[in-house]
Amino acid sequence: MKINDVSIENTFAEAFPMKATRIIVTAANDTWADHAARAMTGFATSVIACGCEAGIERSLKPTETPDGRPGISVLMFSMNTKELSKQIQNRVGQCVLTCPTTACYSGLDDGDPIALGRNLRYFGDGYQISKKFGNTRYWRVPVMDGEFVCEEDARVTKAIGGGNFLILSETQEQALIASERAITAMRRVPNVIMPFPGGVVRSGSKVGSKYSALPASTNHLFCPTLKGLVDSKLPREVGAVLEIVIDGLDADSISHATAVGVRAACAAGRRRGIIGISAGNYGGNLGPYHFKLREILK
Amino acid sequence: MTGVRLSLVEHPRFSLDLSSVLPDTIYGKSLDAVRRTPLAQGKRKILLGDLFEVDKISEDALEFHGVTKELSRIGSGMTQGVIRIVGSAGNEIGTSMTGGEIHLHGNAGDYLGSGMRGGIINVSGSSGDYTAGALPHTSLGMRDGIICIGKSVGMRAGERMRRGLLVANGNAGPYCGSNMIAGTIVVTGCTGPGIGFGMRRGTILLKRKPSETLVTFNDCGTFLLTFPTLLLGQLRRINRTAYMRLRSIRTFRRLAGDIACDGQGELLIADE
Repeated sequence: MKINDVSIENTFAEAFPMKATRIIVTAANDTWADHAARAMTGFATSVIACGCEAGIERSLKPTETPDGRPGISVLMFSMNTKELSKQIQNRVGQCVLTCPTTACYSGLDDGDPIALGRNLRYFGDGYQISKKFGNTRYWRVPVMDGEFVCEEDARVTKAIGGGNFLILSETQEQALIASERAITAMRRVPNVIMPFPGGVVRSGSKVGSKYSALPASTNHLFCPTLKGLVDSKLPREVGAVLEIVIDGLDADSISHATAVGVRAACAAGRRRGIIGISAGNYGGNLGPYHFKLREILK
Repeated sequence: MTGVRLSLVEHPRFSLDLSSVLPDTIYGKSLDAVRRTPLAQGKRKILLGDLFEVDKISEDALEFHGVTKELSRIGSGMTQGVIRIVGSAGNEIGTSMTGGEIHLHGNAGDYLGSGMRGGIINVSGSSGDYTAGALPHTSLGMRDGIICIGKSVGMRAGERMRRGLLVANGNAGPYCGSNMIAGTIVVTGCTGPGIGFGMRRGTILLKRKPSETLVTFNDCGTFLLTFPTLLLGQLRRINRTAYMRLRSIRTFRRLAGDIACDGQGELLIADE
C-alpha cells in the first residue's frame, strides 16, 4: 500500500487500556486559559515517569463552557483511577487554582466520579461556598483576585493509550516537516491528544533494557545511527524516524486521528523524502488494541 | 402513555386539596378510574369527577384548566412527570415535590415549592408569600430544585431555604431570603426591607440596589466574580428572561452577612 509513493507498512500499533478524564479550564480570556492549561498538561508526556499523559484537546468558545468564558478542553490519561485522581488533584491544585481568573469544570457527563474541587475546596479555610445546580455541585474558593470556581467532581471513563505511527524519512528536517503537518491535522480530531512535546516523540522505546533497573530503553531497531550495527528494521535510505503517540477516549477516535495524521504526513510524498509509515508494537502480546495501518487507511 | 386534562366545571366553595392527583397516580388509569379519585375538602371526601371534566390528551402531561385559588396543593409530593396548570392556583403548589415539572400559567398562592427537594416549578405570573419558604410546621424551606417566577414574589421568599435556585423576574416582598440556610435567590426587580435577615449562608443576587440593607451586612467591595457567570450559564438554559436581564452586568457589589448569624451568606448587587 502506498500514499503519494510513501509505503505504508503492513503492521499495527499496539495500544493499552487506560483511564481518562476531560477537564474544562476557563478564564477571563484565551491567554490565561491557555497559561493554565499548558501548565496543567506540562510534564505529562508518558505514564512511565510522569504519572499521567495529558494534553490540550481544543480551545472552547465562550458558548461552549459552563460559565460563558473562553476555555480549553484538557484530556488526562493514566493507568488507573487512583493515579489519575492524584494527578488531577496535584495539577489542578498547583496549575489551575494558582492561575489568575481561572475556573475548572468536568468535561464529561458520564463515568465514575473522582474528586476535582471536592478536596481543593479546603484551600478556602472555611470561607469556601458550595453551590448546587441540578445534580452538579460547585465550590467557590476565595482567592486573592476574587474567587476560584471548581466543579466538585470530574468523571473517569475507559480510554485507550499508546496508539501511534512512525514517520520514516531521509533526513531529520523532512521528518520534522511531515510530523508538524500531521499534528496540525490531528489537532482537529476530537477525543484525542498527542501528549509528547509538540505532539511528536523521537525516543521511541522498547520494553526492557540490558540494565535491569530500566523498564524501557531506546528502540534500537529504529535508530538510524545503529543501522550498521544491529539487525535494523529501517530501509537503507532512512535517516530519521519520528513517532506520533495518540491517546484517545475510544478506538474510533484513535483510528480516525491515525488516518488523518498519516495522510497529512504523506502529503509531501516520496520526492520530499518521506520513505514510509510504520507503527510500534510488541508483537501483539501486550496490548489488547491493535490499530492496523492498512485497514485504517483503506 | 397518554396524559389527562382536568377541566374545572364545578367551582369549589372551600379549599380543595389536590395532592392526590399526581402524574404517578393518574397515568395508565382509565378515565373512569381517574374520575373516581378521592379528594379531600375539609372533612368531606368527594370524587374528582364531581368537579372536573376528565379527558385524555396526546401529550404526556397532567393538565389542570380553569384553576382557581381554592385549588391547593397541586403537585404536592410529585416525583416525576409534567403538570400544566392554567389559571391562578391556590396555596402550597409543588410542596415537597422531589422531581418532575410544574408549569403554571397564572399566579400561585402562598408556600409555592415549600420543602421541595427536586424538580422545576415555572410560574408565568406572581407567587404569594413564603415562596420556597418553610411551611409553618417544618424547619426547612426549599431543599433542592428550581423555581422560576415570571413576575413578583410575596414576602419572605426563600425563608429557611436550604438549597436550590429561586428566580423572580419581578419584585420581591419584605424579608426576602430571611433565615436562609443556603441556596441561591435571584431577583431582577425591586426588593422590600429586611432582605437577607438572619441568613446564615447562601446567595441573594439582585439586579437593582435595594432601598435599604441591614446593618448586619458588611460591604466587601465590588468585584468581577466567576460565580455570577456560572449562574448566568444556568439561567440561559432555564430562564431566558432573567438571563437577558443580567447578562450585561460585569461586576457585583458583595455584602457579607448576616453577621448576627454565621455571616457566611452574601448579597450580590449588580454594579450598573
